[in-house]
Amino acid sequence: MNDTVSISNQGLFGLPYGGLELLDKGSLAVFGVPFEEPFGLRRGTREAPDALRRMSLRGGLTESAEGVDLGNLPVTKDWASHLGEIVSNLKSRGAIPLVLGGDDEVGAALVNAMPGLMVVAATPEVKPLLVERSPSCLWLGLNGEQDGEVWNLMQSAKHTWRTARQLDTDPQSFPVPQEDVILWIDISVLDLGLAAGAVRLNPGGIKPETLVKTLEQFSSILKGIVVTGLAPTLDPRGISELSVVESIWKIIHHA
Amino acid sequence: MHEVLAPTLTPVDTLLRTRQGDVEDLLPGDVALAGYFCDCLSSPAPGQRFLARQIRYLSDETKKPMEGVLDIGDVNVFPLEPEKHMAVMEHQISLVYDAGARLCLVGGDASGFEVLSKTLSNKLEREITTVHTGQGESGTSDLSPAILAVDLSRLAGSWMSRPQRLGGVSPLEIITEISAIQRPITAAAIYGLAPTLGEVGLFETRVSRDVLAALVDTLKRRIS
Repeated sequence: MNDTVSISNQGLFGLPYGGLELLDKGSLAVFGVPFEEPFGLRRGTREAPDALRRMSLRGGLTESAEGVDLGNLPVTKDWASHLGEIVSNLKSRGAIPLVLGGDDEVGAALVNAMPGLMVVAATPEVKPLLVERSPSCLWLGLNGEQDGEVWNLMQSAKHTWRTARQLDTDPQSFPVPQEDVILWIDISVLDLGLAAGAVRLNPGGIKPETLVKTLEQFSSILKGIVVTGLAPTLDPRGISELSVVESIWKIIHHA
Repeated sequence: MHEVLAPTLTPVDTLLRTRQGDVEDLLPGDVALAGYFCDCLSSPAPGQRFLARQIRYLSDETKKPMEGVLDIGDVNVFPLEPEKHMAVMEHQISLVYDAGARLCLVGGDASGFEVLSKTLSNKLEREITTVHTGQGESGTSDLSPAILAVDLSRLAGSWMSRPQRLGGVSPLEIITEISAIQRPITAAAIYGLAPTLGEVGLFETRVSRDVLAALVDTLKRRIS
């Protein structure tokens, strides 16, 4: 069975494709942003949105989700401002944006479109954009490759973090924030040996199961989710997509 | 004059490199392995029917032929005629049982195990117990004969070439559980896995082959 070529009228988690008018308060608004900078050795994040949709259907994760799949945002010159407009519209409707990137720029665009919210970043490396941002960040899965300067900066800004090893030992080893948050999943947080579909190599990352157990704790406080750095063609078995899809599925179910 | 070379024939691939045979070749105490080419009746998923064939292709990698175990080919199936299918299956299962051998159905969907259980219950005139791997029944103190059902759909995604979920059990957990079974096993079925065909699917086919080898070891051990 070839699941790379499929015709389906079902979006992520079997959600119907549709427009903003179909969204209710608290429902999920899925849209893909297949934007990718044209450089780098490990590429392919532009294929991630559709790969994630296919994986959710392959895994049979199609029940109990409420929302609409808005499709993919055309990647024009000003896609970031279009993303901002969509997110602003979603906020006014009380819907929760689930943005399927794309590379890091997509994550940055969502964070910029939702100012004032804390960011929970599942990522192996500190993202400069978030270091000096207020309110501070919760970093999950850092791999220790950060400069000493960055550690100092994060400490002075009172950021909280857990390393990949700490999470693999205990996925609940941190205090869950009591405020609304944006969740940024950079798929490079996963261990390269277990899930190879990441644009950055991370041999000391967390296990896919750990990602699921860690992220499900945020279900009740999420106001937005963005997935970046997934290059599906680098992981023919699809464990990387499966990790993301199962994590988000668990989050939805917990909520 | 050209030298005429005698053609070299390679043996037919059999499950776990066992001897190829027919029901008439079975002796009391033998283990009879049979492919079950049917995946559309119970917990259907296309591709499960290919498991026995894929294991046969990979069985030349196993170290030594197994004594007292025969590959009797694939049982006859009629998946598009369920009533006829069940009747024919019951007849074939009875033939193996009457020969004093223990049947192990390989591949297909759960319907193979279901008809196995039904037929042997009818033969014994009582409901035969089923031991499902993964349900903590291997260490039971009950030593009455049972059927063993090994559902490979419970394998974790990391053991599959095209995973559909992350969670599940490892092959080692299944093998350990099978090896720990103390009660006599009258028959067995290993099913529920649709191997990806070609090179990509070698991974899960090897896993299935090794689980099958452990299953046959357990069947043989109970006989001796």
